[in-house]
Amino acid sequence: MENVDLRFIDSVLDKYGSDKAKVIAIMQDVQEKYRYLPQEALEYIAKKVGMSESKLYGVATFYGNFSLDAKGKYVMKVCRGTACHVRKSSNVLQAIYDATGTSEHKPNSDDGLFTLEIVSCLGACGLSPVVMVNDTVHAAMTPEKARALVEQLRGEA
Amino acid sequence: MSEKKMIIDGIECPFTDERNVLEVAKNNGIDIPSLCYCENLSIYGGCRLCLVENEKGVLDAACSMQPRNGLVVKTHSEKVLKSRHTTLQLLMSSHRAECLTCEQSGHCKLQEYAHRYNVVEPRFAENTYSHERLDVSSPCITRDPSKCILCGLCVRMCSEVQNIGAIDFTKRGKKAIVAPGFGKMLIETGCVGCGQCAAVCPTGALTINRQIPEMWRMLNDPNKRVVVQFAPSVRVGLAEEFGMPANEPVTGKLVTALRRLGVDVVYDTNLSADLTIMEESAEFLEKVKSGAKLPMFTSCCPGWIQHVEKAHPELMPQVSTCGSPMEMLGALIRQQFNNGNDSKGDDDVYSVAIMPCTAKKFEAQRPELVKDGKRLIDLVLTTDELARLLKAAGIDLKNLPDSEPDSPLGDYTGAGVIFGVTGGVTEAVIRRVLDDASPEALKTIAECGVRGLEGIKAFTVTAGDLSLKIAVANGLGNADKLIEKVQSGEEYFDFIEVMACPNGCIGGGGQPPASNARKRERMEAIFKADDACELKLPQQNPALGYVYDELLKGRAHELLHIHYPLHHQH
Repeated sequence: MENVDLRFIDSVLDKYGSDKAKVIAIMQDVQEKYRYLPQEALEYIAKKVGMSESKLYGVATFYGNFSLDAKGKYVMKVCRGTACHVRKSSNVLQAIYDATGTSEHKPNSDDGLFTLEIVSCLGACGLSPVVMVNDTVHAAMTPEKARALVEQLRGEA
Repeated sequence: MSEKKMIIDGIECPFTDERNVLEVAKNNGIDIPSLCYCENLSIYGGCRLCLVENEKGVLDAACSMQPRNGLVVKTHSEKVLKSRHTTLQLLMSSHRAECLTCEQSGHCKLQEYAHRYNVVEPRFAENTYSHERLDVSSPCITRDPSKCILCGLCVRMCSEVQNIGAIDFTKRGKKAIVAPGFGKMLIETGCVGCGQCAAVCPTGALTINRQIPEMWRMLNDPNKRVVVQFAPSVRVGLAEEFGMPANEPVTGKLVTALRRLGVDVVYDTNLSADLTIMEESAEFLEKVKSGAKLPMFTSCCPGWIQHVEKAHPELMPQVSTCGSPMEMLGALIRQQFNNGNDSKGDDDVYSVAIMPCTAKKFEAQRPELVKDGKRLIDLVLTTDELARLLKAAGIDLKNLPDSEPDSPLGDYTGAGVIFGVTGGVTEAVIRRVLDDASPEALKTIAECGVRGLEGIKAFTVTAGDLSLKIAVANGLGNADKLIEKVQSGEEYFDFIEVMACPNGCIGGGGQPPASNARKRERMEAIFKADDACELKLPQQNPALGYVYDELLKGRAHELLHIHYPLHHQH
């Protein structure tokens, strides 16, 4: 786990004037840097914007897009929507599970490189089956391509 | 302007400035069920139990409906009854019902409504309640998420009234749960144990940490002498649990009841309330004289002390070092049975305090409340727990004769008894400082602005050549508002009294839960108890000579003052 850089959090708070009404935007900026919301950061933000810890935690846990768990360097979103499903995304998912050492109940790989997420639709059904790695879309995936992708990412890490 | 009226169930209901239809109905004798509404909190409209049918046949929540002239609603039409029934069944499906053994049984609103509206079959499987673990980290309050129906009353109480926000709605949908953030336990939050959340909880999700079996064990132990003290407010809250009016104190009956329960010695905390005033006014005048940083804050309330420690540590040096009346009497009791004052010594003495307060359970456990190697208070029971004990012993308070507390620690003046209501400590301090027992002087003090249940009171008192600016706050949210004004320099005060619970100890978390009207009656009862006292000034208490000369013997500061770690920060 990384240490939270409070100077960075301060810069985000300054950007939004430490405004209670803007905690969602503040948390989005923090999550962009850390890929999740570290507890230390949330406790600090709560104090600075004058909101109770429990309330801020309530907001963070309400939205599915916020994560309070640390994530790997590569967040792989495997689409299991209808179009991807009929084009066999289940095989792609299984290939990625095997290649990264993750599973349905263990989304993070031991080397801290990969976090696996199942999503319902990425809105790119024409490219199905789709896998998204951080901000990059990989189209028309097959188990072979998926294994190669994992290897490639590992090499880049 | 003609009177405004609306029609509820065909009855003309006049109204003035009620905040919603629910209140109009209540004031006209119609009880609409509701689980998430409280007159002192913002409106949430979440439980959907208060739905009523309007003229168009549409259901709407009475708690969120503005009364308006000519408005027509029905509260028990077929449509309303059906919806109410289903809503209750849905609520029951997310509530772990163990009614026979539940702490809240008999006081649970969900149970009451299920019975009242004849929900004889559960309909939905009881499978959506939370499986989060029980939170027993606080010595004051127990949190059981499996019984929570997400009405949010505790959340609003903790944030709106107490300005703490220890708990809030977290997660979402089926997983939603009222809890502290980050999976923390209550004790790790800003919670001060005031118990106001438990007082508004309609089910058994938040309950007082009850210690009744412990008390039975001691009462039935022939080798223990159980010495009980009871706080000013206990004599005005207890009666209601026995169907007696709230506006009369029941001191004499309470003493008899304690003796019948098997208590060996009964003392009145009022005596040490008088003592607190002697010590606190001396400390205050000394601070004024020496030019120490003012305002001085009172220290009787353990919820307030914890709030200072957790939220305003920098203010702690300005908080009086006087122990609370409970602590002081605890210290006197130890002395009373020690140092040759009692043939058997105090090894067999079990010191119990009956308090209107849940936070006192925490206070009694603090390491600072150990003197001469002994705990000053062994057990704190709330008014609610005492009522349960008496009922279990088959004692009907109503039909008991009066009796007097034991000597020599049973004497008290009117100054001690008014501690139970917000402003009482301050009024007692003023009585002490002005040192004038004439009825005119007392009347002037009573009318100086110190009395009343307002959240914040501010006024000036002149004593000789001193002009003192005084403020009184009840509820921690009000205290925080006051502190902000003092710290920003907007206002200046010499003396500030804070009680953590709304209206002071009469509305304590350990008292039977009560409406505002009921609390007003309790306040009347406190002042009646004051009126009944011949002596009004703490310095007139006849036991003080004995206390200072025979019991404290020069150790007054050591035994009666508590120095918490933050009192001496640099």
